[in-house]
Amino acid sequence: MVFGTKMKAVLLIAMCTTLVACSSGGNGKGNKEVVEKTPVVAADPFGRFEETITVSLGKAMSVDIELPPGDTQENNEYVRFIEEELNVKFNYDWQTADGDPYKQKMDLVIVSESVPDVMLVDEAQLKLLVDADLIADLTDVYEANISPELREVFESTKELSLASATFDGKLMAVPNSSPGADAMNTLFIRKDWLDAVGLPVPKTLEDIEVAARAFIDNNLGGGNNQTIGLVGQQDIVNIGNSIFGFDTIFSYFDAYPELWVKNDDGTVEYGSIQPETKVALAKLRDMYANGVIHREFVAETGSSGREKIISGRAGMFFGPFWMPSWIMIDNLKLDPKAEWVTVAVPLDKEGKFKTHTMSPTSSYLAVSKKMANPEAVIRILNHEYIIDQTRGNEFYIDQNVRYNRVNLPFGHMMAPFDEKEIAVVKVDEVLAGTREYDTLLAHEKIQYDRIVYNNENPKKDLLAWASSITVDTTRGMIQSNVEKVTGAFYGKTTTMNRKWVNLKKLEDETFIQIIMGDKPIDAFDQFVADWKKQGGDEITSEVNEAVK
Amino acid sequence: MRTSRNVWGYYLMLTPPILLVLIYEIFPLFGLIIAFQDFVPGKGMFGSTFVGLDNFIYMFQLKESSQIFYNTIFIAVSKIVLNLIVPLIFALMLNEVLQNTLKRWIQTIVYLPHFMSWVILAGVLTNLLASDGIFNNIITALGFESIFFLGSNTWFPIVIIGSDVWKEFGFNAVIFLAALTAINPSLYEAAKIDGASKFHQLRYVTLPGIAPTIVLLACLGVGKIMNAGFEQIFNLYNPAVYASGDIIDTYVYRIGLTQHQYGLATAVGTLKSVVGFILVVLSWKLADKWANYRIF
Repeated sequence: MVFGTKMKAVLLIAMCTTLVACSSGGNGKGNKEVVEKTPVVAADPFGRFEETITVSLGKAMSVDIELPPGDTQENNEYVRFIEEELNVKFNYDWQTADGDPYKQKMDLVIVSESVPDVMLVDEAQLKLLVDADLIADLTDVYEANISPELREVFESTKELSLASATFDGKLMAVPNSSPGADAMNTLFIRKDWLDAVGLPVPKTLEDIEVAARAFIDNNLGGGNNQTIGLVGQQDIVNIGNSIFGFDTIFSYFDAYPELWVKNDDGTVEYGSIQPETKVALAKLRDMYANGVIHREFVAETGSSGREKIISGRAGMFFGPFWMPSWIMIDNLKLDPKAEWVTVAVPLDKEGKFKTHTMSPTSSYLAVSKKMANPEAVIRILNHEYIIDQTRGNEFYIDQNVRYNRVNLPFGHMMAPFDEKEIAVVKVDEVLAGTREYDTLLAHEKIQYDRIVYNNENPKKDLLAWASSITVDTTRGMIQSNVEKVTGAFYGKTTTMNRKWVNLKKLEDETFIQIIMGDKPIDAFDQFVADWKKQGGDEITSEVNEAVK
Repeated sequence: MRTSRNVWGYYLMLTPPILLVLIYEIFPLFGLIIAFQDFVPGKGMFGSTFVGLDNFIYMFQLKESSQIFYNTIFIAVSKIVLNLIVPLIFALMLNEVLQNTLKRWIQTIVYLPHFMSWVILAGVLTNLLASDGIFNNIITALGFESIFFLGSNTWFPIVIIGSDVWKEFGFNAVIFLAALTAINPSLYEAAKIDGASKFHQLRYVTLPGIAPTIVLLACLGVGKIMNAGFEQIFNLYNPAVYASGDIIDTYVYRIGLTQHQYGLATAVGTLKSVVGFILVVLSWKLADKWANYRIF
């Protein structure tokens, strides 16, 4: 095997030499220039390296990977394919569980300066790495090696993602790009409960309250005050992935807490301190007092709230499009009669549904300064993108192993910003017979297959069922009455590093105390004054400077 | 010659602990330099710029600091005091249980929680204290309003202190039980002959007998005065109870580790250690004065 690779390398070198030798027969002068300018390894987005390149990295291991016996997240068909295609080897310095353990390990690695060649980091860590001068400037490598397909992805975010990874005009990391739909919350509601109390699917905020009240009064989630009308959690707003957040209730009132929004006069202001937020808080306070929002939401986290829904105690919650496969499948296993629907509500008086979008980028792939061939990283990403978008299901085809991005070497999320919206349109076109099935991308095909299967065999395959609901969510998002508000700024400024924790504490504490009735609604005005005084004004001017 | 070789043997036995202390306790102390720096990870301890007492000054300027210090000390002191009194009373009571099997059963059951992590216990507590949990079921059955234990600033510290005492009292009682066995039984016999009641035996034989242990544990407790229990609070708190539950450690976690402000985090940690150190020395002096207890 080793001999074989070596032979191939030798052959390749021989071929290259021949090619160069042949071409030298042309214009001598021009050829000299080319030789001078061309890098040692010609820039080809999918080009194989002549000599094996070893890439060291740390890996966050997912708990529920699905691979045949013997294959691991570090060594599987996807990894082997990329290794073979590019002549690279992956060397895993360490592994952790995904989530917090990975982040902490990465923090430690950065502080101890023993960074691997490639690392997947968050924004704060990227800043650390840049300050510490540990990572390579990728500007030229990116330009020379990025595949046209992947370039399109980053352009789809209006280059927001690339800008967030650019420091002093230098691209210091490859940003991720997640679908914009991730941040948009719709209402998920138990249709069977609505039928039981004889109510239609809610449209307005009042409808939501009425439905919640009816669920609770009829003890639909179990007797003895066990029913939860609307699930909430201590993170009441999240401009990224908001699970059970009240973001949509805020945006109903044109309030966008935690989002830096553009005012009419062109200046940028922090949404949490705007008067609209006070109005929304007053409404939430009302809803809490009436028991529509469950009393202990503040002691709840995403996962404990999830338990409440799975066990069939809750009738409604707000969440992003991927909720069905995360929660409802398990709920349906316990209670096959549960009937979930999703709608983009509440609608305001003009019938509009307002929601905020998130930054397309939350993580970055940075490359150590010590790495000799940073171009390998870009080429690996090119392959990862192709596998992720189209070829994923070609692997393990006879073993019936589902494709999962986490099994790729980097597992870096690179999806077009409007991926979900495009997919649903295309899938619907195929369903309507106006488009060929073969024109769908891999993930769109899966979606289509599942919808068709679920239409024929409702709830037979819960994954298929969840896919149908998921598509419903995205369908809600592309209606003409949806108004998406994009933040003017998603980054961090210098003063934020120092003062943000305090301001966040002030905000979280005040908002929750107002909602729970521990503080009068006018405590909001005091909050705004304190917020401004304790560094908020300073940060606001920095943000305005940054967006100029 | 023979004696000196014996002494060397003892020194040899002492090397591993001395090495451990050097490596894990003394050497890391140099890291305290970070507290006086604007620490940048890539530049390291030797490359970062010194900012003097900036981090300390900033810490005291924070609007929250007085509240956080108060919470820390209030929760810690309550825990120290109750973790001394409750196990003591429990040990004295258990000591009176004559049947040995029963005694051992009780002891085992009450010290079991000590071995569970707060991550697990927090999950258990959240369920027990929920509005449909066992505590609120009892409270409502008795005709009272149900209580939102984890969301109320009145109840949160009580839950924190109470659950910590519940977790630890069985284990802490072990030390007292050991001290109780060291009391000479003939003292009790003599007291009985002199006509002492159970209470008088407790007052004049038992308590003086274990006084050095109580004083020692109190001394050790004082050193922990700035440690109100990060793991426990971190797993139970939420923004609604920041006012009564946010302690130095949880705050440092949020400001220092999630925001990568290592300098500030170290400054707070250093301050904690310095205060703890002063208090330990002080209490040792007092212990020497009042209970005639000393180690060196």
